[in-house]
Amino acid sequence: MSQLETFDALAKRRACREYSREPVKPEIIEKLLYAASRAPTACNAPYRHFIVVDDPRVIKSIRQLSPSLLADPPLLIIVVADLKVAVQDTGPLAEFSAYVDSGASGQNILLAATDLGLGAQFTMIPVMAGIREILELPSHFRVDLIIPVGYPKQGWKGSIRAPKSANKVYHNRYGEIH
Amino acid sequence: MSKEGESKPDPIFDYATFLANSARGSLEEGVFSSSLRLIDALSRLPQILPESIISDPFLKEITEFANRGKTTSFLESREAYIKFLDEILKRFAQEIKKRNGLT
Repeated sequence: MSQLETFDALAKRRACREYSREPVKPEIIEKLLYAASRAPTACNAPYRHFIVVDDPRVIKSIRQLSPSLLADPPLLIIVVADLKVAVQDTGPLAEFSAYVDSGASGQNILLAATDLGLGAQFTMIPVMAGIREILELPSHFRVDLIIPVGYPKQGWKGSIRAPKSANKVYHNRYGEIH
Repeated sequence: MSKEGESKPDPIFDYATFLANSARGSLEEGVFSSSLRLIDALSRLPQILPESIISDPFLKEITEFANRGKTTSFLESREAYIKFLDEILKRFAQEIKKRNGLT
């Protein structure tokens, strides 16, 4: 198993859209969940939950309802936010800040996956009606991220890297090139 | 046009034309109308699918439901239309669970 430095993982991470059928071992899943749990939440409020999906029937069901989930991975880690708890504990802004916190945990998963030789990517689902039914998720929960995880299929070269121009950096004020 | 000049009905060609036209039209029509085109496409499936497929009870029921509700809910309000779409999706999810052995 490779052990990368943080910056190596940052450099190596690419979205994976083709996976082998090799299952992800439970101890590896635990590492991914550990990484996810190390991301911050606003006020440390306990509103972020993870659903680990490795039942092929559930994965198939979610794929059938999620047009952006093109890959057929052996594992999904789904990041959901309990909006009732989020708003109760941290105020109305939590409906938005929960997305940030979910994204932070998702990025930790992507980096940990890279470190562990796995592929992963972000996908989102815009409509909750169907997936709530599949996951038996109460109505005050929102699915923020669906992260397919697995070993990249042999020959998968990784997604095209975003051009440098995709990230603009300014110094002290907007428009001042850094 | 004379009867002789009329072409034979070609529902699959008509359906494909509808899809292509809607794909282009969606860029001009806005999201709600574009969504309506997709639901319309769902409701039109019985026109093109063989009887052996469309006799599937779920598909029969859902396409009929889509056909009944598409214009009434759309014209009623945005909220009613969204509720109608969510109901369709919920029914699909319940059927998916059944077909994938989850219930």
